[in-house]
Order: sequence, then structure tokens, then C-alpha cells
Amino acid sequence: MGAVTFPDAKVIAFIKQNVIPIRLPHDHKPLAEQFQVKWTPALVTLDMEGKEHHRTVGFLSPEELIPSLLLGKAKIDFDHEDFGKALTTLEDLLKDYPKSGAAPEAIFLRGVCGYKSTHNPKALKEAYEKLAKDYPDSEWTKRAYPYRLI
Amino acid sequence: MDLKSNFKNHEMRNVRRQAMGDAIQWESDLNKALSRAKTEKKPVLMDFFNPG
Repeated sequence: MGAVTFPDAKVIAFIKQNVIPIRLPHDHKPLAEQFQVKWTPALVTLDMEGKEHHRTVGFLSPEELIPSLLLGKAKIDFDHEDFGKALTTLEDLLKDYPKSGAAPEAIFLRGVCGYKSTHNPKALKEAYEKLAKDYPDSEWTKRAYPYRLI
Repeated sequence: MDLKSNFKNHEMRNVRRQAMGDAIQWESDLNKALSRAKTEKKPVLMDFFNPG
């Protein structure tokens, strides 16, 4: 990450604009233990109160890191029940990074946000249909499988 | 790997780290990062890494 992803110009610009970055060695005391870090690189997204909402372990290319961070941002808003804000971030992710590893989870979460904000289950069915069409092998397609019956 | 190329690789890593440090303002204190997060209304990205 330090040699490839973090020096990338798009990543630098994204991080400067969207997150507060903090780097810690894998054996940092007490935070590595507090966050149960067992392997690196471990990227953990926290809200302003310090609560964890999203985590990845392992290398991410620049093309994967940015959508992963967008997903983390959306998960914070989802967990805080700000579904409109989460939907905006998820739409940005899916528009700019539709082929990324974060995209299937973003589609799943977009469906849940749509349902939570409107109470219309159609959003869940649409999420499944999109996943089945574009990401048939994704674990998120399997998780959305029951929504096909809606 | 001989000593010379090992030194060269080490130097290259330092150059990259220096460039990265210039570009991204990494915090090293969580309380300071959270304080900035509240002021700037942004999430915190924690990178646990192995310095090697």
C-alpha cells in the first residue's frame, strides 16, 4: 500500500478531501489490540466518535481503495440511519467504480437503504436483480437471494 | 541480494515514504485524528501497517 496505493495522485486527493488518515504500526499499543489487528495492511474506517464501521485486510490497489473508502463512508451514514446521505455516496461509488470489489456490497446496501427510507420492498428486489445480472457469483448476490420473491 | 542493491532498495523505499509523507498528512495520535474528524466532519481512516 505504501509503495503503490498511497502515493497515487487520485488516492492522495481523495484522502485529503474525504477522510482523516492515521497510520499506526501493526503492534501499536494499545490500539492494535483494541481493534484486534492480526494481519496487515488493515484499514479501519471510524466515525467521528471513534466507532468502527468498515474494515478491509490485505492489499488494495488505488482503483479498489477509493470505492472501499466510499463504502465505509456510506456504512457510517447507514449505521447512523442517514439513508439519504448513504444513498448519495453509494450512487457515486457505483457510477465511478462499477467494476470494483466494493460494488456488489454497495448495490446490496443501496437496496436496504432504499427500503429503509421508503418502506417499499421493491428496492430490495431491484438490488437482487441487479446483483444477479451483473455479479452472479458475488456473495452479496447470495445474501440478496430471498429478495427475488418480493 | 548484495549489500549495494539492498541499500538501493532501502533508499528507494525511503524516497517513496518521504513522497507519501509529503502528500498525505498522516496522524499518529487517535485523539488528534478524532478531534480533526469532528472539526472537519469527516470519517477517520486507520491504516495499521507493518513497517518491515
